[in-house]
Order: sequence, then C-alpha cells, then structure tokens
Amino acid sequence: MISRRRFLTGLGGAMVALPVLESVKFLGGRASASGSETPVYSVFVRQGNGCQQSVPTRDEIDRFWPSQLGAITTESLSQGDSSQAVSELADYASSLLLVRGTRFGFRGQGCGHSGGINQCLTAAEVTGSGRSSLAGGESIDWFLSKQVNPVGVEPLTLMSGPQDAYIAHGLSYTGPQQLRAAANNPFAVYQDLVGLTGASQELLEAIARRRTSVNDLVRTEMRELLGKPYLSASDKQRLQTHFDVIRDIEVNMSCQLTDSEVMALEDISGAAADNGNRVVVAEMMMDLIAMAFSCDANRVATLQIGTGNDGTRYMVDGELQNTYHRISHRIDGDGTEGDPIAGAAVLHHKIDRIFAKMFRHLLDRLSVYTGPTGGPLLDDTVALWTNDLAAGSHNYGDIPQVVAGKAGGYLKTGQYIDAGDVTHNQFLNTLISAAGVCKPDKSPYDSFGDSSLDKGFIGAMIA
Amino acid sequence: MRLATAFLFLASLAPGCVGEAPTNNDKGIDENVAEAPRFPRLTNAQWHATVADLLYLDAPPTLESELQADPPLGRFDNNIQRLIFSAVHWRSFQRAAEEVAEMASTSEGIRTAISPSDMPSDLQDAGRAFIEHFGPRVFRREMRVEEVERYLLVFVEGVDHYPEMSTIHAGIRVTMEALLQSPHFLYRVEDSTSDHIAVSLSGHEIASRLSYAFWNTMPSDELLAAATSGDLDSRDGVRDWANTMFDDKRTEAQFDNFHLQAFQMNEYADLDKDPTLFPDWNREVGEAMQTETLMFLGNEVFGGGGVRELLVSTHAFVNSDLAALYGVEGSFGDEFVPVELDPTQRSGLLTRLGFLTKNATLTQSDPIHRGVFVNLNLICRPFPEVPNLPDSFDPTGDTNREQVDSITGPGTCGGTCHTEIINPIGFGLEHYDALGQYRADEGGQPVNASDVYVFESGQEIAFENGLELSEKLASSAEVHACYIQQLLEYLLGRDLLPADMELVASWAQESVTDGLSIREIILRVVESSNFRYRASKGEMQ
Repeated sequence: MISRRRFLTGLGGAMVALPVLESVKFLGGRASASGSETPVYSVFVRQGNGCQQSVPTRDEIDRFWPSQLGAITTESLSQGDSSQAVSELADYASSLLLVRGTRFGFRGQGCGHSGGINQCLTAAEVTGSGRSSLAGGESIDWFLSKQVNPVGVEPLTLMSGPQDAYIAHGLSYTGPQQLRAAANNPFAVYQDLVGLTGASQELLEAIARRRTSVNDLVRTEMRELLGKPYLSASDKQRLQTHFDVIRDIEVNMSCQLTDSEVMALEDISGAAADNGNRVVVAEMMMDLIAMAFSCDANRVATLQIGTGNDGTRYMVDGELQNTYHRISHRIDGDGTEGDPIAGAAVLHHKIDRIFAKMFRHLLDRLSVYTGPTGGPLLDDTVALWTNDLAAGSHNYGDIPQVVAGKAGGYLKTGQYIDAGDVTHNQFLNTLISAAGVCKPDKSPYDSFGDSSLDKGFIGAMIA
Repeated sequence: MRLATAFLFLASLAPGCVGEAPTNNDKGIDENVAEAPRFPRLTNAQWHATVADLLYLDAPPTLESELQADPPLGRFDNNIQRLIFSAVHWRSFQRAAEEVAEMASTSEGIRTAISPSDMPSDLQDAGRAFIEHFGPRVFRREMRVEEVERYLLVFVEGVDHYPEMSTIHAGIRVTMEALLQSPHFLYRVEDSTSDHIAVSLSGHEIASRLSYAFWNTMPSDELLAAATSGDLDSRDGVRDWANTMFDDKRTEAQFDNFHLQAFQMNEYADLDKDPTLFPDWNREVGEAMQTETLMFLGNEVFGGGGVRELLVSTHAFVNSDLAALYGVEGSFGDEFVPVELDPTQRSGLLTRLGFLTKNATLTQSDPIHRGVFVNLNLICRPFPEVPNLPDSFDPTGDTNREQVDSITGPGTCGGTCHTEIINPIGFGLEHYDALGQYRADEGGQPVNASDVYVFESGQEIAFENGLELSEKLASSAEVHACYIQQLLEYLLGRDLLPADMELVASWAQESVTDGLSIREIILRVVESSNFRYRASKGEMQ
C-alpha cells in the first residue's frame, strides 16, 4: 500500500496523473433539447442471497415491495408501506422505479449462488459450478463502458468483502468466460482514480517524460509481437488489449475527496475486507463512484456487496447475527441441514433494510453533486440495486430490481411495476437504453445477453 | 551432464528457431499435441515470486503498490486462460515496476547482486554489461542484439529522469522500470515456430514451463544455463531436469498448493462446529487438519506413492489435538509426528479428519456433501442440473442415514441423483462424525455404512464401510484418471483438451494396473509432447 506521504508527494513517481487532460470524446449520452449530448451514468449495486419477499416456495409474507403496484410517493412508502424494506428509500420516491416480474433465463449449475451472480449482469448462460462457474457473455457494465467511456477508461469494478472467499467474484465480465476481479480496497481505488494530483508541475512533467520513454520501448516490443504471423485470434486480442491500454497521459479527475475523507480511506485500507467494515467500505466505494461520476472520469461502475453466498455477519438490533447466508436459508448451516434460526425471515428483512440504507447512501452522494443537466447528478444517473437471487431459497423467479435516477428523463420513475415474468435481459436492455445506448434507429436496445433469450425491453419503464 | 549429443547443434540456433523434428519417441505428435495460448501472463503470485528471484530476495518484497487482483481462475490458481489484461492491470504493473526499480536501484546489496561482478565505470559500457547480465533473467531467455541496444538507450538517459542519482544507478533504475513492464517479462512468451503442425518449444520456453509448473516462479540461473546449453532440447534432458527439481522445497510447496486446491482444503480452518457437542473445536484444530492432510499427501507423492496410496495408506502425521481425535495412543505435543493409524478404522484421504470435518454439518456427518465431493473431485463425475432447494425439509428416522434417506432417497425429488450417485458414497463414511471421529454406533443405533455405487460406465462397487469404499475406489480407473487429469491441468496451467485426455486415459490405466508412482506420472507429463510442444496455431480460448 502506498503511504499517504508517497501518495501526495509522488516521491519516486509511484503514481502518475498528468495535469494535461486528453481531449476526451465520449461516445454515448442523452441528446438534450439543444441537440448536444449529455452523459448518463450507470451504477449497478449487487446484494446476494435474495431478499425477504414472498415467493411460491416459501411460506412467508412479503416485507420487501410496496403493497400496491402503481405510483409511489414519499408519503406512500414512509407511511402505508413503512413495514417494507424499500420504505428506507422513501425520500427518493420520485426518483425510484421498482420493477418486479423479471427472472433469470438460465438455471444454475449446482450452486444457486454462483449461477445467480454470473447471470445477474450478463443475462448469459453459466457453465461450471461454485467457484469454477463462469458466465458465457459480457456484463452490462463492460458493454456500456465500451459505448459511453473513452478508449482506455474501463468501468469501475468494486466490491466490499474478502477476495479469497468462496465465490468472491462473479459480477463483471469483459467478455465470455472473462471474469474481472473486483477491487476491495477503497484507498487503492482512490489512488488509481486520482493519481498524483497533489504533486508539483515540475515533478509531473518529469514523470511524464520518463514514462513516455519507457512506454515507447514497451510499445515497440508489443508491436513486434503483434506483427507475428502465427498469432491466434485470442492471443492477438490479448496483446492488442494490452497495447491499447498503455497510455502516456492519463485521463485525470479534476476533483478529489477532502483530506479527512482520504485519511479515512487510508485508515481502513488494511482492514477493508473485515466483516465489521462491510457497510462502511461499501459506502466508501459509493463515495468514490459518485465522485468519479461527478468529474466525468468514468460513467459506469459495479459494486458487489459481500461475496457469492454472502457470509457477512451483520449487526441487527445491536447484536452481531449469524451469517447472512445461513439467515437467508433460515437454518444454522450452509448446506441443507441445520437447526432453524429463530426469526430468520425478520432478520433477513432487517438485513434488506441495511442494504436499502446503503443504497440510499449512494443516492445521497449522487444528489450532492450537480449533474450535466443542471439538477442533482442522480437525475443523470441509472442506479440499480439488484440481487443474484430472488429469495434465500435459490429462486431465480422474481429478482428484486430497484432502479433510482431518471437517466436524464428517459425513465418513468415514481412507480412500482410488474414486468410480467420476463427474462431479465429485457430489463437490462431498458437500462442500456436509459444509459444512452439505443439501436441505430433510436429505438430502445433489445438484444443484450444470450441470443437464445427473447429480445425486447420493458416499455413501462420508459417515460 | 544431461545433454544429448544429438541435439548439440540446436544450441547455436537463434531462439524461436530451434526446430527439433519429432523423433521416433514422439510419434503421433502432430495428431496429439495440444493448443495453448502463446502469451500466458504471470499470475500475481508468479509476478511476486519472480521479482523476488530476480533480485535474489528470500521472499517477495512488500510493496506499497497493489497489483490488480486476479479473478478465480477455475479449479486451479494458475490457469492461464482466465487471466485477462485491462487498463487497471497495466497501471498496477506500472506502479509496481517503478517501486521495485526504486527499491533495487537504491539498495547497494540488490544492485550488487543483480549486476555483473566486473561492472565497467563508463556509462555506455556499464549499461551494456548490466542489460546483458540482468536482461536475460528478466526475459527468461537470451536477449537479441537489437533488444540490448534498445534498452541501452533507456539506460543512458536514466540520469535525465533521476538527476539526483548517479548516472549508472539512474540507468539501472529506469531500465528496470522498462524491463519489468516488458511483455517479455509479464508474459511467458512462446515464440517458437515451425513448418510442422507441432512446434517444439525452445529450451528456454521449456525452462519456463518447468519452473512455473514446479516452482511457480522463474527458472533458476542453473535452469536457464541448461536451456542455453541445449540440455532441455531432448525428452530425456527435460525429464532429467525435472527429476532434480523434486529436491527443491519449492516443488513441495507447489504440490501442496495443488492438493490444497484439488481437495479444497482452504476451508478446513474456517469451519464452525457446535460448541456444546464439540467444545474443543477451534480454528487451530482446523488448521492442524489442513497441515496433516498436506503432510500425508506430500509424503506419499514425494515418497514414491501412487494414486492408490492416497486413498488407502494409513501413514499419518499428528499432533496432540489430532492424535486425540484419531484415537492414537501415546504422548504428543504441538509437533506433527509420523504415526500409523488403526487400519481397522482408517485408510487414506476419505477417512482423514480434514475431509470428514469439512464435509459435515455443525453437529453431524454430512453424507450428501461427502458424496458430492467424491463424485466431483475424486471421480470427476459431472452432475446433472441441480433443482432449487425445497424450502423446508421434514426428515424422519433414528439415524443420520435414515434421515438423509427420508428427504433425498427413493421416492423423493432427489431420488435419482442422490440414491444412485451421491448418497451411497456418503453413507459409506457414516462411521465418522462431524469431526471425523470414528463411531461404532450412533447414539446406540448401529451404523449402516454399506452400500453400492455405480460408476458412469455401469461398473458397480459394493462396500461395507469407508475402508472398503476407499479400497475399491483406489482400484478404479476413473479415480486414477481424475487425479491425473487434475495434475495435468495444474502442470500445464490450462483447461484440458481431447488430446490431453488421451494421455490421461493411458496413464490412468497404468496407474491402476502397475501402481505408477505420482512422481513418475509428473515426469511423464513434462516429457510428453503436450508439455514440450505446442500447436503451431493455437486457437484455444
């Protein structure tokens, strides 16, 4: 870990961020009234283990959704539906779009959790099981990033949780079977985002000269390899990707966190994966996402909270509870056997509320900044709080999809709808369109995910 | 000297043009050689170990820069097909390279270790000497003249970038920055070409395959010298070198890592048990179980044992905690000492504490997970799709077996998979409780550990208990093939292809009938065409 001293002074040139910004041409965006395009930002937050809701295989009342489909208001959520998990988001009712009735298109392969997390943002078929399970397609964050971020800017792939746990990663795919690990240390993420913004002009120029010299040499070697006649398609792609990401001048952010916020990130960096820091690290990652969006340094991010079968022990009612995974299965065991956990359904609901509060933190942060259309940045964002299971019993049938943000006015927010039991690729297609990526004829995008799934989008989500 | 005279001439050829024609021993290579990526990237673990070796450090340096995490790489953590490259990777490799270069160039000890002993004082001469000495170790092969010249330009301008340093130290620093970001360092480049469908790899390419397979790090100076002198250009040469590598502690660590992943032992130390039933259970006992299992497996592999011994040997290593659980009498402390387990209660892996404890619930043995584990990891038998779990179970019966049978046995929704594939194996291990302790009865009820398992081939095995089950699995070609298949996958660092499976099948047969040692199987892997050759145009994804 780079110490604060090194980080801020840039001694040794361990980091770089040049004051000269490249001329960035973003490809996507929402056409404004004036005809110019304004960016739309996308963030996908993932909860595991399902939510506490009523599903056919489980005899429980619903404590997640509003009681009625249709319009939702701050008043309806905070009063009539105060017993429901989504009531935690009541203040943002006018920005919310709650969508039930979407399901995953493919079954799991022996492990509901790995099958779920791999399909969650890919809508792709999953091969393998458990820790060796992989999705057969690109995830929505990478799909969008290629459309709306400049070359060299990749989506932020973040998590709060341990990287060495069972099914530690599984959300973000650069392509079929190409899983990208999520970063779990917010201080390291911040360093990567802002570079040496505090360094002197003289030092930065020196670093630029040195790195250009080194990069030129490396580029020469890469070109030689890329020119080999024997390259297979996959080898060529691997090398070309490497070649393309070598850059002399980083796209830098013009904004930073405050010193005290940076200190907080550094203080937690050695314990970012600790159970007790799950919530605070998730919120720090949200701070970083909102900051990156506010500076237009990145337009797409994923945040995975907890691991595949999330074993986090959450603090509920002042007590450290059994693992979330066991609570979600309602028994004191990670398999099929174990004593019942008393009040597990209510505990699960209270954990849903913890997730709702974390999501609210993201919405708070997105509301602090002013977005490109002049209102809160949230208005120019699509924020999704999703899950890789419908409920704790490994159901893929009614995934809780909570969208916030108007996406520049594209989404019809302030409502709770039932999509009608469609595969969730259609839901993701609608989010893709909301992020500004449509078909050439400007009609909504309809073909993300596995080609065997029914194409389409969810018209009721669109304003 | 391992050099085969017939291949002496090869040493004079430029890297990438070795061109060994398939010999009689390599008959059928064109048909059998497997495809593979030509540019496997170093994993993060390999990067750290390689940097340590480059600088002659005892352990990987503690860096302030973090490398971008590698995702789970499939069954094993060295699977080159799963390694992606992205901008985040590049930035993290860049930062780490700069940090290592700073550390090395400002440390007199490291500078001395990595520089030639007769370092000239003239800047140009010093740069050339340093690059020709250090560069081949970074590239894991000889450098071409134009490559040396290219790096020399960077070396000479080093002082422009680091004016506070001496000219030579600054040159070393910036040159190291470049070398450690070079694709020839970050990838194990396999550049050899041939008119044949099968391309014989150069000695240096084989040296890298060997060192990363056995040590998970770069070749030693001796191994690089062997490659340069042509020692690795023949089948026998490769075999002989691999044989010597067994004497290295790093090889033991590498096969510990193999067993750790193949048998999912990482979780042994992270298990929960009911504190009322098992008051002495704690994390340290789980860690001891992991240590014991690794020592047992390593002892068999490095002591000349075969796949059979892994399943039936009663050799064990116990400390006081494990001796108590195994019921071994005597005086024991914290140290692990070799013992023989009671052959009427114990045999190999399936009757060892770690496996049994991991595949158990808080309170009870877990026949389902034991059966699943054996099918997936010892027999390599895939399962059909698994249905969603029912929401609640209502088991009936007096014994654990009866209860499991009542919810997954004949007449239930688990009737097919559980009754025929999963449960029989798990039931065979019902003499071992949630901590792997032997039990003659279960709360006064007799233990029924007899059952019949039917392989995919239709072959049936009947057994009365875990000992017979282990014995019969140890005589099964499927089990031998499964272990060898995983071993091959680990040594090659990639998913297996049909061409690989033919080798697996033939070795498995010999392993069953002739008791081939695992060491011999490993040597056969590295001398095989699939290790020493590559397809000329691999399209493996």
